[in-house]
Amino acid sequence: MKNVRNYWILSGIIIFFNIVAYVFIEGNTLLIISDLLPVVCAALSIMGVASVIYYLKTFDITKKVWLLMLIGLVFNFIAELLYFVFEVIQQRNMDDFFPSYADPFWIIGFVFFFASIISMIIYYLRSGMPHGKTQIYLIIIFSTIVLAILETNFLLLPIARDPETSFAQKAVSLFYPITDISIVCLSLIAMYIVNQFSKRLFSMPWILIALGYLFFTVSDLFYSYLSWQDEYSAGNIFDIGWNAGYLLIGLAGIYQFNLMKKIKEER
Amino acid sequence: MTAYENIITQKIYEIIAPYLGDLMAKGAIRSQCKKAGLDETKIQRHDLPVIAQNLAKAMNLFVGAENAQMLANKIKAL
Repeated sequence: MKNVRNYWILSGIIIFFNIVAYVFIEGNTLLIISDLLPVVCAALSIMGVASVIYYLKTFDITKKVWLLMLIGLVFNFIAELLYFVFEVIQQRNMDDFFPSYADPFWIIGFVFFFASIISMIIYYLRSGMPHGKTQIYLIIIFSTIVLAILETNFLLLPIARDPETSFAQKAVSLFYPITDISIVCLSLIAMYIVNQFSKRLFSMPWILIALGYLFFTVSDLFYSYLSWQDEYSAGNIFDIGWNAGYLLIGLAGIYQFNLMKKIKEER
Repeated sequence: MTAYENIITQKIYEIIAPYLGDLMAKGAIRSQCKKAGLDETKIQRHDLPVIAQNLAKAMNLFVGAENAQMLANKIKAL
């Protein structure tokens, strides 16, 4: 469990540094930190999830689920790196460069995240394990619908109707919040499923993954809204959600690795 | 630890409960027996291979194929 503790400490230091930077640092230094931290966090998450892939020898549903997640993270890492290069190295104004070449990578990454979590849920529901209470599923779906209606009213429709926003900008601005809602729904379902396990070591990986996606969603919603309002700039406090999301998913990989190793050692 | 009157059911429970927890272990035994058309209170030794395989398949997602198979082998060997 030493690797788990070290990863928690490292994540805590990164998030603390992130907050301190947003509060005390300004200008170009903040821009560099703000664009570099997601690259670092995405790389750490890749390492965490890759450890699971490395451990799993058989190519089955478990490996498939984690591999889909890993591919999604690699696409996100490329996107974060491109964004860093465009804004920090090439010094482009990202407000005028939206959507950027990084956005297709985030979009493709999302598709893999979606495929990963839906595969996990479908497999679980078909596995014959206890599903839990149907009411909880209905509450999650109902809450998601309410959230989607609110989001449509206050964010999606205004963006779609904005005459000053180009088609490409509208498409990308709408893509993130729409798809995030589906991820929120699936994450909450996954969280409910694994919460039924009273053994935390068993449920921890999927709780962390679900939390990671929820953090992504919150940041995506703010990003879409602020970008549309032309108020998004690097060094925004809401960026922490992306960094925390990456770190939590990486941590999930470390927990999963430890769980499998522990069971193997108990043989 | 939950006590099943059926000694085989109790032993299956004792193998999987440390991983799944009390509630899920009971739920898993119940649902896998139902899936196999068995009564959880009347499991016999010749039922073990099918129950073990079903449980392994269900746990695969969380512990990986090798570990799930290892648990299945423990159940089969009861």
